[in-house]
Amino acid sequence: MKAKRVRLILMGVGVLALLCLFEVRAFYLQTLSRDRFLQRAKRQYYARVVIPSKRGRIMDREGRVMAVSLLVPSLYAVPFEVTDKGRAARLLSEVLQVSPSAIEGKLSSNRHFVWIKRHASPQEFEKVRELGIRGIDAVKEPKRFYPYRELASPLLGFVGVDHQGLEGLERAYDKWLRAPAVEMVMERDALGRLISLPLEPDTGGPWDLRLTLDVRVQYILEKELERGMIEAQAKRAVGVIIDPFTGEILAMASLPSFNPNCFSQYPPERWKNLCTMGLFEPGSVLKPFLIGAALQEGIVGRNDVLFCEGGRYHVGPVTVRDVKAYEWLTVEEILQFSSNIGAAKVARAMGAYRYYRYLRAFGFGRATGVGVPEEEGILRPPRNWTLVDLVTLGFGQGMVCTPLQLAVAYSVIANGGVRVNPYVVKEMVRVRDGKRRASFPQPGQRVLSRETCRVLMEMLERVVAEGTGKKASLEGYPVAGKTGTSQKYDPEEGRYSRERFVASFVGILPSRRPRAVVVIMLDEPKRSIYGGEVAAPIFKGIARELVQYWGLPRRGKMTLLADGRSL
Amino acid sequence: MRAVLFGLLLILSGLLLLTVVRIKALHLKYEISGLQQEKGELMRRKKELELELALLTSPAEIERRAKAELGMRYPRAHEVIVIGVER
Repeated sequence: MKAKRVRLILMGVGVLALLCLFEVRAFYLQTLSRDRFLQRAKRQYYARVVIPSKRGRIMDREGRVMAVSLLVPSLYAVPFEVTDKGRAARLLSEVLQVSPSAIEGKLSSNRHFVWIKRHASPQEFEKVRELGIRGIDAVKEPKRFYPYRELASPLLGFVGVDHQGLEGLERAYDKWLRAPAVEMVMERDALGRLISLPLEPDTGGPWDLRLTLDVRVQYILEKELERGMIEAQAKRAVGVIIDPFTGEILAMASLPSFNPNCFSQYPPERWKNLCTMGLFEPGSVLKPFLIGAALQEGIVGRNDVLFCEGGRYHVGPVTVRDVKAYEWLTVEEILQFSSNIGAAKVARAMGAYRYYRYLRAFGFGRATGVGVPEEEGILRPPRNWTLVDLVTLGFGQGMVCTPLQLAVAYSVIANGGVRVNPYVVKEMVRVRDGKRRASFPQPGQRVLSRETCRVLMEMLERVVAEGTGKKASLEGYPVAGKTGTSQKYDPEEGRYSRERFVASFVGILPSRRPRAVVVIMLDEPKRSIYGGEVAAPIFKGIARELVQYWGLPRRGKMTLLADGRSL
Repeated sequence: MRAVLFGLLLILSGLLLLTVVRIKALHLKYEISGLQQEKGELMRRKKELELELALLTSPAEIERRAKAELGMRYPRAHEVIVIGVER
């Protein structure tokens, strides 16, 4: 009996000791090592998932995709896992067309992770995978593609290797287009499979951009501009097409341009959008604003006659010259034949302050607010003008502006007197939920009366029909416009160059119920320096295609289609 | 005793139901995961097709193929006749 009791006691002690042992172990695990084991459990149950950075698309006004991001493989190496570095480098170099020494250098690095090639092609990825080299792997990274290649590239800009906007719209709208990479913690099962993927995190973006641009119009502009630039042997060419009533930019070209898919292969000066960043002295294309302002103020009438001094007019130390020795010209003829002397005399009659006020109202010397990086131009305040400055500004020398500013200013004439605010992003659509933010034409300031614009348009029609802009005329369609030829300032010589010019033409198509204002500028043309000779034909080529594309009816006629419908 | 047994049965049924619901939820999670992956793939494919479409329908590409493959060219001035009537 006693032995039985002893056994029972011993057993009880044993069980108690065992329980104490468990208790101690449990205390150790749950209290002393709690954090360590909690971390280990979390590592087993949860996985970190990186949702790569996303970027919205850029589309034209018809929804044609101009820029889109796709996930592509980027190859990397974990150097200490690569056993035979020399062999690996040799095999990789054959596939990736990179020197073996460059790859071996990377593989010999002390780092835990090195990029071998970012944004590799699917073919390269497959070949590398087939090689089966231990320590070489790939992750998917977003890459930007521009399917229209050079088309509108200075406006679109491009992104860097980390998907950040570096130039153009890509840079200006980076905060809308880009949704940064997000790291999320996800539950996983015993086999390491993720249990349900994360829902898209609410980071706001990305947004798709729908532009006012029309890819077809852009193509027409670039094709004709390139042809004209080559024919004129010009250094650069710039073109803008804008809707004069809404301010929507339909096309914007700056040549020579670049392919944004491989932008680093081009010199950086090609990346610049000369339509908004290029500064040019406008030359004679500025004269319609002087004449318009003078008509508006009642300083001159359309048929008033001015003496043009037989081609030479002395103002202080400067001699103003005309291309031909004109004697008496009406105000209309001053515009038609682009007389500098006539313009100089109108400018004198106008006075510095009044002229300056009109130039500012037309939009010169201030940013247009188009939404992409732009220059304001230089228009000095009139208190600093001398008489020579006033006179030369009459025919567009002594100030600089961007081609877009010119387009906006001509829109005033085309739309009946109101300055429009140009814009290039028509709408933004949030990818996540389709939320829209649309841009609408903003009512601008009235600059000229409707009547003054009507008279001015008739005068500009005559410039094309009978004046310096004859080569812009298009049979069957009324066209208004003005030619320009300006000397470039040579900072080395400290005076205007006698060899380097800017030839330009600004046209309104058609002049009755205008659809577009077209600005063409050629920098340093060699074949001829005159806007009427080299820029006006480019406008004609563009206009010819645009009237077909838009189906504009010929003057006084109704165009019939083959099926009997009328346009 | 009967009440105890009934209570145990109830608890066991509850636990069984809970297990079934949890398993179902897990299956649904896997299904959602699969569908989300599929959606991601389809979205990716859509973007690839959009890119391909843009490449094939770019005006430059159409013009190039029209000239090279179909032998087309722009009409000359005398080859264009505008059909019109006086308004």
